[in-house]
Amino acid sequence: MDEVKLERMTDPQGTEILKVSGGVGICEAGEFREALLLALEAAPEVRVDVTGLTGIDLTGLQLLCSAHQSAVRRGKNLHIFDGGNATFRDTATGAGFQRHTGCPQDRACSCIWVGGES
Amino acid sequence: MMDLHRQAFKEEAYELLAELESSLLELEERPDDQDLIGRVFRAMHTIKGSGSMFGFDDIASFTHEVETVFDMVRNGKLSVTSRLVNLTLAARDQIRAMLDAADSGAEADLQASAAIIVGLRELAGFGGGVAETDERHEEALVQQKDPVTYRIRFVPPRDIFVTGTNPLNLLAEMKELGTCTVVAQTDGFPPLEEMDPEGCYVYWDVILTTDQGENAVRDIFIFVEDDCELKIDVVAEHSRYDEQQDYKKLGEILLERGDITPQEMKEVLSRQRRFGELAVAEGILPEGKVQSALAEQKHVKEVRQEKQVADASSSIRVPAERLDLLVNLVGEMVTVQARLSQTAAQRDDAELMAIAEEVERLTAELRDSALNIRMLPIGSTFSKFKRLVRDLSAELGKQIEMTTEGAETELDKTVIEKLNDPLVHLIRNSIDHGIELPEVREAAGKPARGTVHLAAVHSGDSVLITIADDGAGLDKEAIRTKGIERGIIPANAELSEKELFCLIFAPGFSTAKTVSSVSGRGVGMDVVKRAIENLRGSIDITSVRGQGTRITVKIPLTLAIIESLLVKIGDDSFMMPLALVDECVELTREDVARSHGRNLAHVREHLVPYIPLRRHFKISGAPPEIEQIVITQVDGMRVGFVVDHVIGEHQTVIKSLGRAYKDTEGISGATILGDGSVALILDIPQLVQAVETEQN
Repeated sequence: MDEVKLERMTDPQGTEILKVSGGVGICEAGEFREALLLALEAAPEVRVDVTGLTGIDLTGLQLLCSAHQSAVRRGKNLHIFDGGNATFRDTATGAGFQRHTGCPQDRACSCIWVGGES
Repeated sequence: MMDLHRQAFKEEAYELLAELESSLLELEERPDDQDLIGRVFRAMHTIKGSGSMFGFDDIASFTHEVETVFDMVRNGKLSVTSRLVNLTLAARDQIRAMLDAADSGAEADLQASAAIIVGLRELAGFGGGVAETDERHEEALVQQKDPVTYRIRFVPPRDIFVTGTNPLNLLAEMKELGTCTVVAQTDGFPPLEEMDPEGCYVYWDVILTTDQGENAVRDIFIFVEDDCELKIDVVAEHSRYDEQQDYKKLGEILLERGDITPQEMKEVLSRQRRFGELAVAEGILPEGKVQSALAEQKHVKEVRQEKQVADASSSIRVPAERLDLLVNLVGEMVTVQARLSQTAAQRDDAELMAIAEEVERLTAELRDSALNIRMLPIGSTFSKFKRLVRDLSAELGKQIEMTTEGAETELDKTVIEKLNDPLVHLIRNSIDHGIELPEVREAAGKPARGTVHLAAVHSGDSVLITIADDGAGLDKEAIRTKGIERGIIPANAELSEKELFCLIFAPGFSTAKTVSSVSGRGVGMDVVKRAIENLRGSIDITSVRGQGTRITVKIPLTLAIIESLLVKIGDDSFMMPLALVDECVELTREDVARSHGRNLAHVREHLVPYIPLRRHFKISGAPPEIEQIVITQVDGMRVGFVVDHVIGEHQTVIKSLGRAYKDTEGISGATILGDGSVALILDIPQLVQAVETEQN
């Protein structure tokens, strides 16, 4: 997998943006979790940009899903923007993460897996 | 019974091999086409699976090798190259040879099989020889079963990632087994801060429909089964769909899975809201479980619908001999019906006439249905020719592309079979004599790659098959010179282009300067013409020097029954194929006297040559005062046949003449008339040719 690159920035509206590029595997999972936690701490609105992902495994998918659930529990919003990234979508589909409706925590209809099916 | 199954397997295998060949040829042109790669793999997989089931172990084991290689191609581990296509085509031929050998009890060439396997293994990058084959064959003995839909709950251990197992690969393997719906369960996730990033919290519900059996599913989990929670339940058996009730309700699925208790379900059902919504709202079920159950419901519904569609469009495989027998019986019935109609007309009995008319209507419908059953698209034959073009062009160092059109055009199975050899010959000629070598073509300003276009189209009760090439075209001067040399035409003969081209149909005629492995031995076009005429067809050539040649073969749709014109000469009856008949005119004694013995009739200001059949067949007795000329079209020329009386149109069930009469000139078969007498079917083109030869 390509080396992971995690960049955090804040846009003029105050949204915290976490841009993830390269590959997220088990070796990068710890680093990825920390970045997600920091982003969630930093702002009520978080956007994780995965357009630059070149690979992701189940650890990465789990962390994204858990980050979303945690955000909802804290009354925050976490959105994932994949920009049509085929690697990301294919992995999520193959892992059966795609679904028709979000989980019970998904009150703002922001579930990252909604809209597809395996 | 087993023999029947073996026979059915062989028939299926032959069809699959034909499909495989065309897929491979297409794959050579589009090596990245995943659909084609999938088709090749599936064909091999089916031959292997069914072969092993019906005792064709050699075929199963051999096919397994090719399947393995194509599995690599399918998974992107190997690319499609010319060598792979060549080897797979050779493997396809070898499987065919093995199937043929199974009939005769002979053994297929084991060395050839071994050579192909070695080649494939080299290509795939794994060495080893044939010795491994038996071991691999173990895998081939997969028991094919009726599809079953399983519900699999797979809860991996928390440390599965650390042990190096990737559950995604296990899911992918399940997808290989059949139709698969995967639902990840994420409801047990801890908050992010408590989550061990290297731990596995997700688990899956998988709905899988497969014909591979439960063991194949369990095999996937063989290395993790001890550590994980694995539950495999049968949700639906396809063989029992008809007796099974309608789609299971959501609550029933959740109950079966143990995700909800009967009491909880009862409580929820007592409210008037949708079950899933209620169960989630009440906190009885997490959303993921409901999603998963809904996915199962949807999966089973879709698979069942697919099966229903497949059932609706199913067909049955019937040996060709049974259809031939059916057509023969229908033929007999047509004859008896004609007799009934004739008798009814003679007796002038209204009731009998009404019955005869009814029988006539039913017989016509039955005849059309029986003949339609034997109609097949000519496409499968076209595919075979693609292989021929590929192999021959490689052999002759030419670049040739074959294009086809009208592959869906249907023809009687017998006609298609008999058409094969003449078409092979014509295509060979196009490749060998027609299309030039790449450098010659380029020097002439043409693309290096030549084209042979094969087209089929319906035209009335016939099919026109065209073989057109963009090659050198026919050399009229060379044909003329050769014709004079061989004494076929006089030195000063003035021939139209059409007549000149017809010379190439003369026996032993060849303008080729050298004899190649393909053609040029002077054997050929006369045989082609004869074969086409035996099919009651005709052949026509047009050619432009330097631009190419177009050969059009006109063939009747079926050989079994034809519409014909019944004529009489004295007491003898004859049939003339109606498709060739233009019109009938009278011939009086005065007309004969005016033509001064030249056998020419004036028909609307045009002279039409005629053949007096009474004289030609040496039938004794005097002709009537007014005879009839039946004017026909032969090779674009109008030729008349003089008979005593024209009786009318007739449906003719063709009976072939016995071996003793097979060389009888001008007669192509016989038929039985309503009164039980025999009528001979005239071979019009052959009669014209015979008279021309006689006059020359």
